[in-house]
Amino acid sequence: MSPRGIYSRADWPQIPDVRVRPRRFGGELYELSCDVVVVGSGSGGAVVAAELAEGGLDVVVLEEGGYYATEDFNADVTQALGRLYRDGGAQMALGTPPVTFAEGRCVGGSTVINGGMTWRTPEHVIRRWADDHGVAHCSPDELLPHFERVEGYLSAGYQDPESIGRDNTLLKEGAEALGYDTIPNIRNQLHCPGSNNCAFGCPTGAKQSTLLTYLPRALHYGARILTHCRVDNLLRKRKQVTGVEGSLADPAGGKTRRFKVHAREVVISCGAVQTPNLLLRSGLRTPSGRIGRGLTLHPNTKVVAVFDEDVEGWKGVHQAYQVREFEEDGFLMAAVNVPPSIVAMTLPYYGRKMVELLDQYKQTVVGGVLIEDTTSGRVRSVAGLPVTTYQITAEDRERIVRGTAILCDVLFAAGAKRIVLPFEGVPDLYSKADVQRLRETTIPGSAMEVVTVHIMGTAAMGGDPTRHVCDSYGRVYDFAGLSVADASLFPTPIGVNPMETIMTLATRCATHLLDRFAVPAGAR
Amino acid sequence: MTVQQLSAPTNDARASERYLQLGESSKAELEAIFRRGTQPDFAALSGWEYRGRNVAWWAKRSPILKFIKGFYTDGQGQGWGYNIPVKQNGLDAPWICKPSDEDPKRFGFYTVGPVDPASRDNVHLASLLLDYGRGKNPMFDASKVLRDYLVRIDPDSDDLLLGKAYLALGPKRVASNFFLLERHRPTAWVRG
Repeated sequence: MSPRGIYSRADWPQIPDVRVRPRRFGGELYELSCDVVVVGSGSGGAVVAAELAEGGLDVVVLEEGGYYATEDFNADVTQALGRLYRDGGAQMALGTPPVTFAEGRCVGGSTVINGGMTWRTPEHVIRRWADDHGVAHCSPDELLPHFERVEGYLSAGYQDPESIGRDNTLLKEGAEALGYDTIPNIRNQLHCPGSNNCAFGCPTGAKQSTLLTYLPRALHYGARILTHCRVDNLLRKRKQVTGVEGSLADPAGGKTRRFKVHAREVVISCGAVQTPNLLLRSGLRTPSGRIGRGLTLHPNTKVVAVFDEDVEGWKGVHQAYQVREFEEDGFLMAAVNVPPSIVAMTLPYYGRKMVELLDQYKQTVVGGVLIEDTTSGRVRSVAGLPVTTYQITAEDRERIVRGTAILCDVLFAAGAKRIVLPFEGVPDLYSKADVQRLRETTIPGSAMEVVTVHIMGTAAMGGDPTRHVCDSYGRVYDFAGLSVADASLFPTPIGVNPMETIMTLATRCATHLLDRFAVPAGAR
Repeated sequence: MTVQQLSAPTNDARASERYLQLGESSKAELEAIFRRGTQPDFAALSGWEYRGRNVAWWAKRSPILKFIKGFYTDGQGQGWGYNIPVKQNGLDAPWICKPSDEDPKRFGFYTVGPVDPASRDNVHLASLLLDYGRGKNPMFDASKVLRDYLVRIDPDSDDLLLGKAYLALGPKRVASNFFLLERHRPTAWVRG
């Protein structure tokens, strides 16, 4: 049973103030009116909804996915991929190599299925945004209150020591043996026991996703959250956006119904793929012509390292440390245990060799490298669906190989006996000498297996309407009543996990909207 | 400075160097400035006349290369504006009203206000709309088809403004030309 204020498709006729009208060609049209309609309930949408609802505005949140509570989460990966992920977690940016990416689609969005890393935007990135992109009121000092507010709601903090698994301590030991700077992760968690199920919904309620933080706060202040609502178009009169329309997806596969939500302000928080798709699908053209352009995605690669000892990587938190030694070079590393079914999908083996490797799952550490990209891709809307393209540059390919080689050095220093690479046709590594050979190998892009969960920058904010889609607070240039509050706003990649940055920008966006709606500061 | 404190109109000021240079900009350069421009503060325009110049290939030999635009607020708080014909004596010479600085002809009236995003005249939201169609001009006055959009060139100053003129031809809006305005002289004139 859903908490009060969360409505599924079957609840629509009972939603307060809903109007039901027959449609001309059959079926029914549901209509609602509110001050602000927020599309998406993840790290952007939930924050905006809570801040605005607390400010006294009538807020409706539309979420395409369903509502699942803590007690619904377990280690059933197949079930979780279907329930919590868009397209079963198998989306792709086309290019050479293609980049596989995943997004959440459930109440709470990607905060339900992310690793829970809570990092402030690096100061050099903040300054770049202000200096190169003209983002107003954007300095470390000016953003500090927003960071602190977000961290407070998320209970951001370090892991309890007993929750840190052997895979993470091995990575740390290896990095420290080589003299590399390693830092403990700050995560949005409260006494996380380290069940390592972050990516499939936290079954203990320790991870403080928006499902447990901002959305309950939004509900407390009167917001309504409507699930299974797919928004098809923005309603507008010329350049005045007046609401959204869409269909009520029936999870059981039944007949879909139409809805319209009329609002004084529409906030789009669908993520950096779906947000530009919705804007483009609705026929919006901004002066810059850059909706959908500027896509960055922090390309990730992973290696599977086999140790002699029983690592039991599933015991302990998803990520406890990050190797930050090479942050200025644009990459960082972490141990990221994933279930055997996911590991199996990415191993370059089949048959007996695959079985033998999986048989050693207990002894494996999965390590990942995150690259701060130097190029950008694009999201187009084709027949209403997003088509994402991204071409990794030669420079980034070199950094992927370099970063992977350094990660292998770290894992060998920690005692790894064998490392399986994400590069097709490149043999497994068994020694540091093999790592040196890897460095000297030219690896074509087509042989790389690249993944990501950080999609950014397709409706970038900035001070110049001819270069940016949104202004410094997320309002879409040359349209009224329309804002964006998600990772689409990033003018550049940030080089670290983006959740806190998204939430911080969403907080700014909400504060700005409250000012525009003339809500007194004392009422917030 | 209030309108009541102003001295009688004078006309010693000439166009600034920057104003003249901007007038030599290409259409693409002016378009970029216009798109980046921000909405002027009408309170800072009201009670002032601005020297204006059209920027277009046809303007240099036309009788409307130079002109003056004035702004005022009526008793109901509605923003208004008007045009004054000036002597076409070259851009480096003073702007001299016709028939005289003391008693100029005022014509081509327009309302001034923010752009309504839901209206047909919504080309550039971050601007002030000078709507000649609502200016209570004579029935067959050709100026009634004009819709001008006005933006600041410098984000914090209302002294130098860039305008873009459109022609309202039925439901269509056809871009005509850019024009520049520079603060010229105060005025207490209000349409009777």
